[in-house]
Amino acid sequence: MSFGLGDWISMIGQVMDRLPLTLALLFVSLFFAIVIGIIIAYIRLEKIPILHQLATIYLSFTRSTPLVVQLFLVYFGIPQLLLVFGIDINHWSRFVFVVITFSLHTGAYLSEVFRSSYLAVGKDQLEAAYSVGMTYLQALRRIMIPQAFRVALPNAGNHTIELLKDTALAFTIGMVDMMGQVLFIIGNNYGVGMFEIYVAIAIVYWVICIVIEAVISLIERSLMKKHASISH
Amino acid sequence: MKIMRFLFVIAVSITWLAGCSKATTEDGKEIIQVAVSAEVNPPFLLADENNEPIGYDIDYLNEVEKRLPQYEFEYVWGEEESNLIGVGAGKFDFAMNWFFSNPEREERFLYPETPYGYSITGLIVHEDTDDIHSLDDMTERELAPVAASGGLRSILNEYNENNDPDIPLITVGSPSNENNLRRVESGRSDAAFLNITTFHAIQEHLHLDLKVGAVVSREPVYAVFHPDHHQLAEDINRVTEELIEDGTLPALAEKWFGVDFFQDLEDISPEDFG
Repeated sequence: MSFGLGDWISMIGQVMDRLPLTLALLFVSLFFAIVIGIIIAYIRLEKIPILHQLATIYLSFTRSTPLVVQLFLVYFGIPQLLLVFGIDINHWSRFVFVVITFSLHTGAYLSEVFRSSYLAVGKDQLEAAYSVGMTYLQALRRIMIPQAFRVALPNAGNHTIELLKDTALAFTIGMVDMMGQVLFIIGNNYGVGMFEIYVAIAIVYWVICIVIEAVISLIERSLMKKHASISH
Repeated sequence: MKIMRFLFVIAVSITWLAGCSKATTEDGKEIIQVAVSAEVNPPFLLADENNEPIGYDIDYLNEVEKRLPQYEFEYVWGEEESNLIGVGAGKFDFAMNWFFSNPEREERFLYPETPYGYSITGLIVHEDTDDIHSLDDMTERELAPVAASGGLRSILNEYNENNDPDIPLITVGSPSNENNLRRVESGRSDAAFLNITTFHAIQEHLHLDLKVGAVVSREPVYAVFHPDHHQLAEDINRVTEELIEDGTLPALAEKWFGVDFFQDLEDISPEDFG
């Protein structure tokens, strides 16, 4: 089978049909990952007893096991565990399980990004804020977070792109995202035209990543303006 | 696939306490979760334009469903290894996709007695090759790359365990049928081992200078059940026997494969697939 222009267009069209699902996975997971990241970073920065130790174990586990293992544990493990207590979540949509997994996974990485960027701003600035009479919350909102956010942005952008590519794993448990559609097309064609389809999907992911990168650098630049200093 | 086995152990050990919950529809039918393999394998199983499963497997299950009014099947896509973990963990009631039977799987899962179909495997060779008639002829030749696990691989593994010398195997993650066939056509490999129906379907697109050199085996294929689902497996087994006897399944085989594989292997020659 030779690939004409029409075939390419129809193939990319089929894959793009699944784009909303991939983006939904990306944004919903990213939202919860940021929430988790902030909470965990706070717990670790403040060294809250017990929670601090639990957070450390969670981080260690999440960052040291393959994502596909975590996906299986969440998809197969948690429902069975809850069944013991008489709670049946087996019939929840797979979207939920996938979002839980990706949020926990990316949240762990983001918490480290947030923590390190907070530390990068430095305690002396917090003390300086106190010395002019700010409360802790004021210091956070007006001094620490705006600077930490700027430091965190490039790394957080990296993890967003990483998360986008991770969403391709959703097909492991049968969610037909873009990658799933690709594998269906290959399977339905008995593996004929595999190379062309992989080229197409690579381009699609690449373009999405370029858009994400562009958005991040836009935010970065607008922050740069607010952060005008004498040296630049 | 050692990692997968390891995952399986983890999943099972986490879930050993769990029982199976029974969900029912509004009119009292028991909902049966059927895991279908996302690595589609037409004409057994493929996805239609709405990504719904279709194929011989689904036609068969629809017939079964008609005759077992107490059940309603709900299809769930998932990758094959993941589906098998899910069946083991009780998340799915059974898994569907031309599963061959092998001792390892029989330990873990419940197999019904009667296969619902057969997969006819064969060696695909170049038009001009006349000296490959069975797996025995492959020990000195090069076979196109094969996957590390799965039904086709287990046939080759079994051959190598029982015979000496071995067939030399090249293992890759997910071999492409198209590439393999092109390898055979160009002479880089001497033969490719695959489903004969798959070969003919590909040939309709590619028209390569290839032919079926040998029919290797007629492998029975089964649905694979959670070990505790005796009642369900028995019910389906009984209906399967009925469907074969009254000609429903042979007719479906003709429809999807163009050959009635319920005949004896001796009656099926490479020419039948003309």
